[in-house]
Amino acid sequence: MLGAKTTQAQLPGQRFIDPAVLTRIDNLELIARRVVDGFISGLHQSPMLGMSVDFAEHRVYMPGDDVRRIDWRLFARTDRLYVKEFEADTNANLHLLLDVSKSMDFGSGGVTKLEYAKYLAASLAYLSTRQRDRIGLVTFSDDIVDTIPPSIRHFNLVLHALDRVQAEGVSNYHRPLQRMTESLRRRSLVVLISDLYEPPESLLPAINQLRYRGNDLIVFHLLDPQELNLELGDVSSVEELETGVDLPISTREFRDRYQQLVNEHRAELERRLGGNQIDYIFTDISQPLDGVLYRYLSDRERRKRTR
Amino acid sequence: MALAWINPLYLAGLLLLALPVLIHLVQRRHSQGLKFPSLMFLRQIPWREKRRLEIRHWLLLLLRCLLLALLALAFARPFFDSGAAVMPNTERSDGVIVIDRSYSMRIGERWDEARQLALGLVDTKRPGDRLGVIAFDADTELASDLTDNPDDLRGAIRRQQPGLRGTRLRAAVEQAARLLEGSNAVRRRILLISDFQAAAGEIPRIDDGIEVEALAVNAAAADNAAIAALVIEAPADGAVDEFGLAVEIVNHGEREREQRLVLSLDGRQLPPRILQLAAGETRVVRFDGLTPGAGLLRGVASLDSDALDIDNHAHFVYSDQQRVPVLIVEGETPRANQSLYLERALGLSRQPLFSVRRSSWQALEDKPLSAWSVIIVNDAPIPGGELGAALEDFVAAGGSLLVALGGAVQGNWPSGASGLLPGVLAPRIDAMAGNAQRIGALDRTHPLFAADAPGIDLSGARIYSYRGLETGERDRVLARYDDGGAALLEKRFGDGRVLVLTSTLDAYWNDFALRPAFLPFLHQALRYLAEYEAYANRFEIGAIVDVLRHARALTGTDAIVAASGSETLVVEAPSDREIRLRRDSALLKIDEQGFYQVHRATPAGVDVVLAADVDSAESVPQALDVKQFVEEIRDAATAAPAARVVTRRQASEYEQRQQIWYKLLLAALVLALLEALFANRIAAGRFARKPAGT
Repeated sequence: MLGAKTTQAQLPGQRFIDPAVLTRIDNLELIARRVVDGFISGLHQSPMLGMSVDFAEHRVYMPGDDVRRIDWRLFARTDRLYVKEFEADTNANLHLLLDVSKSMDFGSGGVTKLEYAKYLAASLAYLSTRQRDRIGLVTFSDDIVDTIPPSIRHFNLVLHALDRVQAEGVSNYHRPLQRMTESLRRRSLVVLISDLYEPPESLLPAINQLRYRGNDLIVFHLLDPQELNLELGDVSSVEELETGVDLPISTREFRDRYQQLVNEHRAELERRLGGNQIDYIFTDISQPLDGVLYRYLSDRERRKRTR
Repeated sequence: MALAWINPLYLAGLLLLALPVLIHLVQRRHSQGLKFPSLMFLRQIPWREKRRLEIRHWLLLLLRCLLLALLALAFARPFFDSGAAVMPNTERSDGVIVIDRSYSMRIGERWDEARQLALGLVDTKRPGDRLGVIAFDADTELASDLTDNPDDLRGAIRRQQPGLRGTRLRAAVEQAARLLEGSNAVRRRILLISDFQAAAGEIPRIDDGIEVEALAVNAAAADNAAIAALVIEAPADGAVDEFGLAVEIVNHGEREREQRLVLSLDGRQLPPRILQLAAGETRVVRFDGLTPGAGLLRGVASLDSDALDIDNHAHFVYSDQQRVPVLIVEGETPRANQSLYLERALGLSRQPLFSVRRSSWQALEDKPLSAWSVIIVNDAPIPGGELGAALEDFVAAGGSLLVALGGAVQGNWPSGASGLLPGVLAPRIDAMAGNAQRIGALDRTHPLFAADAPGIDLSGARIYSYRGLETGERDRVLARYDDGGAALLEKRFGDGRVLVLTSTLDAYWNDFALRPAFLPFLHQALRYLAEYEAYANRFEIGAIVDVLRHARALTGTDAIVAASGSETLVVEAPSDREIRLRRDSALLKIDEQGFYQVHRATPAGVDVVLAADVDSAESVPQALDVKQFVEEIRDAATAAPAARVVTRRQASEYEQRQQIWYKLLLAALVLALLEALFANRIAAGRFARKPAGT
């Protein structure tokens, strides 16, 4: 049973799916279909429609060409050797970069950041598959954990990989993103999904590497509401998920200062990433996933037009 | 001084300490259970604030733990007990050498062997081990407290010499056990060196944590004969100037022996008696018809030397000065045989001997009365005038008077003697024929009829007539007739005593003189009036003698007492050692064998002699079965130390030592206040709202 929730004011009349409800569905593909189909059916005009068309041409056979590509029917009619040439199957590669460090295993509501990230990645993969894009997946913490190279047929692989993902290790962006950059052969759309617990001055150089080959980069910054406002109740100390370090705190006395620091961090990321032509999407994981996708696609469409 | 507890169960309350710690841990686990993705931002918030928070909570925890601990300790009532067991020292061993110095240790090489054993124990002790030394005979002496200094121990052992007294093992072993009670050594031993002579006494009772090792030194059998007893027999009837002697001799040896017994009287040696004594035989040798001579007689009975010489001598003194002079006064015309029964009865006394003289008041007019101890007025009128006054002086100075009333006293007492004699005389009371009075009620609290006096049954006498007598407030009625009339009265006058019998002492008014009770009554009454006390022919070494009392008993007079006044008495011991005694504390401890001579400091001259000998029981050669003796000690050992007698002073000391709980409780109160203060401050800080942005 899928529950519905009335959400943002900027989307009047739109009904999105509560992330907590999605956790009850075991099948990632079903989640992705439910999110994307519902989301697409709600769109009046999709910027993605009609973009994926195959076509072929013939050219004179040249020595060295693969004989298997000779069009024998045309040879029968014309008695000349022509070779078939095909356009690529998709028009883009989509690389999903998923942060699976321990810090992602946190959620105060019904869903953790990692689960939310998995739904988001699955939804994006499904969306891209429908557009016949190649999709690949890289999971990382302080190093690359799992890699699925991009392919039109790797949707199920990606879903399986997402299904297996466990939160482990500590966050370190520089090394995995550098290796990722080195493995990119073609211009790609790279989507980074993370909680970005790294100071902007060290985080930006790592992310910027992905931009060097002309890749299009989108960063989803996931945070739980408790990470935003420090509403932890009457606790005297907290333990860091990644390191196990215990720190005595007073939530009441720390809260204002904490919120200020988080907001400064978000603002700084948005400013610096925007300055590098990187899309920055801040995501509160208590908000519906399809709403986030809608907002993202709307933003991208708007930017495409302005570019 | 160790810390001990009155209510140690309350120490279990220390487990409550876990309570705040548990609460703290639970709270801590609760707070730690909140995991957070990253401390990146939290770490940027100033540390000072967090630090202050952390310390304050730890302080609170400490305060609460300390508070609970103090409460538990206070309720457990700690105190410092010097006698309490402390944590055992697992390396040290403590022991007490208990060495027997009774006179049986003089036999053969026993003493040398015992001393070598003791010195050997000191030589072989491990460094750090402590030993003490207790020497004992009938008394116990702590020669050295527990010490690990071998030189001190050797000195204490070498100072000891065999004494002249018997053996009392129990006191010595129990004192050694008390010495070890305060020891915390892992091994505590009593090293008992003795000949385990059979008269050693009862089985000691000691703590069962103390080992007893017996080291016997009685290997060689002794060839010994001893004088077991010496008894002076009273003179035979009619031979008051003679006395007899019985000497009991025992052959303790294992073979027959010829033994020579020599008796010396004032240095004059009598022909020796040669005795053939079988092994273990006891024989009594009598000496009759001995004459005391003038004054005090010193006698010594001696055997030939043998393995133990000290029990071969028996010293004694004999005195005939103890005769009590009694004057019987009759009227001008006495009845026939008026004093016959009286004189006969007094003549039969052996202890004391009475020197009796009969007279009348007229014959005594110019003679002093002080030559007599007791004057018996046997149915004679009481004199008035000068003689009456002399009689009053006699009694006031300590003389005694026995008045037997008959028909000679007419009317009341003479006016001059009214203060001397009890009550007011009334007319003669006659019982109807065949219905004689009997003496029915006796004052059993009076020394004359007390339970420890010879049983005197006066109820058999039939009283036909007696003088009525109305008693005064100061008169004590000692016996009454059936009709309630006073039969015997006493009045104290000055230092003297007056007894009045309201009937006669012959068969004139009663048949008392013909009854068996007459003789003991008369002897007891005269001993009471003369304040007679039997003297001791011999004392046992170790006894403490009141020299003045002995002198009074021996001489029958207070001469030395009165003459010495506040002077110092000089005692010459058998070893010629001189001991000076003050008259107000003339107590002499007998510690030598032989004759002690006591005289006044000035003028010189012997007044009193004491004879002293050893306890003959110690010379019995039979020894205890050492193994069985040690086993009996072990069987009698108690798990807990014997209950100690707590004196009032000790009780107050205990109370003082127990005051710690009070201080602990005060400290807990202070801590409780501090805790409340801290907790309130923390709570106030938690609920207070700070302005936004601070």
